[in-house]
Amino acid sequence: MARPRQAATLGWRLVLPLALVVLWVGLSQVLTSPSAKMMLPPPEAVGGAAAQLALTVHPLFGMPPLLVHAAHSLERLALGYLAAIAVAVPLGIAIGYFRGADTYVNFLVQAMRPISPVAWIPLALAWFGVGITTVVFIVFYGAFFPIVANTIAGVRGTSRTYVRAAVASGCGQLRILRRIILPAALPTILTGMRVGLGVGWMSIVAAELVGTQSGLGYLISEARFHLDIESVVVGMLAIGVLGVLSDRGMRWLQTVLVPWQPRA
Amino acid sequence: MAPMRWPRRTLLVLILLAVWQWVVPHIVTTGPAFFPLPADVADGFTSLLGSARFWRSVVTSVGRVLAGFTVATAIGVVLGIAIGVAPRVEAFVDLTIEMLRPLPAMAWIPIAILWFGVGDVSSVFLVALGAFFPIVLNAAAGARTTARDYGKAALTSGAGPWLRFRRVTLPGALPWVLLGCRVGLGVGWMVIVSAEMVGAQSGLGFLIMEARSFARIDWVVACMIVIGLIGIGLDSTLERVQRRAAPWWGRVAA
Amino acid sequence: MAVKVEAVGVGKRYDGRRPSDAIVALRDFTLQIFAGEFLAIVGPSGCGKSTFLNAVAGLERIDEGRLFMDGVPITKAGADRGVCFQDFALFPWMTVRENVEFSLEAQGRPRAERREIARKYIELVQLSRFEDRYPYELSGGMKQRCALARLVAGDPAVLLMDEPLASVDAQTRLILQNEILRIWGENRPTAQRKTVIFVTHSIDEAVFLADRIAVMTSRPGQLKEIVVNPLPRPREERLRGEPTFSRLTMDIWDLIRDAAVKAIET
Ligand SMILES: Nc1ncnc2c1ncn2[C@@H]1O[C@H](COP(=O)(O)OP(=O)(O)O)[C@@H](O)[C@H]1O
Ligand SMILES: [Mg+2]
Repeated sequence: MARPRQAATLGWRLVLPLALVVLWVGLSQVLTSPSAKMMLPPPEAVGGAAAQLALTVHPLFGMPPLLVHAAHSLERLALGYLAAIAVAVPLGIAIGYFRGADTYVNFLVQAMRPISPVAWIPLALAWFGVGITTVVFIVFYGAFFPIVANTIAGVRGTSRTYVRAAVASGCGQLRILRRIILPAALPTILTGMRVGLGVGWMSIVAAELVGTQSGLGYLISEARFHLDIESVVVGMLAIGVLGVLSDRGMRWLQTVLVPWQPRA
Repeated sequence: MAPMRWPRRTLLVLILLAVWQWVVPHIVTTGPAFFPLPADVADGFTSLLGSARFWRSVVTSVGRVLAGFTVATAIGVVLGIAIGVAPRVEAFVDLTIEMLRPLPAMAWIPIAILWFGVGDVSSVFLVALGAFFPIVLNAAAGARTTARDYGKAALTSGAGPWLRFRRVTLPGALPWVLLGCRVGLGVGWMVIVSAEMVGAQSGLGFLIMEARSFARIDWVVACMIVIGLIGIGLDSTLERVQRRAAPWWGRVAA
Repeated sequence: MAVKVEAVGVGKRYDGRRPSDAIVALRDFTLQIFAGEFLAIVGPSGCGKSTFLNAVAGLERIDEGRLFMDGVPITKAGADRGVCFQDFALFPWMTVRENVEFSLEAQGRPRAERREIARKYIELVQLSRFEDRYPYELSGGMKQRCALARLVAGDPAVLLMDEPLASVDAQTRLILQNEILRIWGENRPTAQRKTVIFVTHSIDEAVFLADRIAVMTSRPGQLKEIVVNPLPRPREERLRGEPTFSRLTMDIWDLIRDAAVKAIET
């Protein structure tokens, strides 16, 4: 009994989003006092702010400010995230594969894990000051744990039968790692990378709220400071859109790198 | 091998701490204000544990997290199960949920401050927002999976809708709900620390930022450890609930 | 003999994403099952056996033809038709006793009575020591016995079993076959027996258990032949060695071999 997904339900699915938009427009028509406008900016004000931020070239940057902030956020995200992958995947493989690494390294990793990336922000600020390094570090830290945990799980979850079959056909250790364990663990690792990217986004916003002078997190924090709610909303929309796009990208990567995995 | 693990691990930690205390300062020369030494952290810890302000902060933060988590659970479980059992409800809300979900709760901090001011209300709102999505999505998946795997068996036993809901849908979805609650509480704990750093005059997040601005790195590190410990405490409480409420969960399916 | 379940020209189509993906699972399927009869259905895999069983259970709507129980069209699931699923579908959150009690709970029986009836059936399948265990604590054979007890506890007139022994080991299967005959009521007069529709892919299982064996064609499933089983009741283990037993098994295999080979290859 398939769930109804026909065109007939599309109208029904649109009811709530449209109702919310209508409510927004309606309320902003009714509530016109300056204090109300500061709580609930009318759509055209948000549109204006979006145009201002995304289209008007900033005299200092030579580019529209929204693009500058987005570019800064993405750059930090990419740096921290790639660094997390570069460290977490080899480490996870080592922990999953070698008993020594499991005994002496894994418990240290597990001990650090409960301290959330957000809690590191003050220390990172003290170490690296306000700026890119702090944010990159927080992203790195946030993305690191899901990736390492999934890598360990993926390596450990590799069926012993596969390994035995490989040994029986005369494979050496390295080849087993490369041809059996890595491919078998890859789907799990990619899942960890996807979760890590999500945590990375949370971390970057949190870090930029307090730890930088640029980036989308800084943009909304600063706009809030100036009671400029329109720009806050525009910044939030930008964060949401980039979050969706990066998650889609990861999903696409999953289908490309793991073609043998049945799609959900 | 196994019995030797923990003595060796302890030894390893002691060596690391010793290197940190006595060797690192000779290499890194920026001074202990930036690089807290184990002994300083221990001192900071002691003075922190003795201060009433610290304990008030802990109570404030945990209270806010639990309040927001309760709101998120109440709404998320009801809505999630409705989504899982009724395709109409799912179709009604899924676009909205999919549009709101990608935005991390931290991105709501500025607007929450504008809406609710600095303090409890915005903190609770942000925690609820962060915890809501894992809870609602897991509850929906649980109800849906239960209907798929056990709905036929329930129907052919002649059970009516209410009995099916009470004895099949709810218990079947329970482990999923609890899983969502664990994830949600973890997110909520992260969110509250972040929210208090920016938008509160109280709580652990505020305290740790304040310690940093007074250059009390020993307190900063002590607060981090406390934040980690509370996180463990919250999660293991729910884990225990999960184990007791659903002992069959994660075992070979029946 | 009274007709208990009757299928007349039943057709069932599963719509795919595109019209060309549609699968015709059953076409013009006609079959009568008598009250108190043990009827087995065999056929190549994917020929629509489960589809038919689910339709009788009221879990799947049919597109063509008609389906009756006691002369009344089947429209929805009901307690008068119990189903035993291949993967058991025991509720993991209920103990053995609660699982067995569930259909009695659905009938609104008082607790004490429920207990008593459940205890009787749990004893019948020899699970008394495991009454308060959860399904994950049981072996495959024990799960199957629990599913059998749950199946009959609500006293349905018709038992629908979909490859119930497919996932237990070969020896347990032989033992459970006898148990199924006992639960069905082999030792009772026909009027007091339940009606069983038993889907299996194992031909000798069908021959050992059934009064009649319905052989289906490959998809779209139609009735190819009904084989009446001459073996005497009660069925005893030694029958498995009889020439009649082997000959019947071979005859039925001859009927489905080509279709079965085709089913693996496609
Ligand atoms: N829910 C469904 N949706 C689409 N096709 C189905 C569905 N259930 C069964 N089928 C198809 O219908 C055919 C008959 O299935 P089934 O009755 O399960 O066969 P059997 O039990 O004899 O192996 C198969 O080809 C199967 O793929
Ligand atoms: Mg089948």
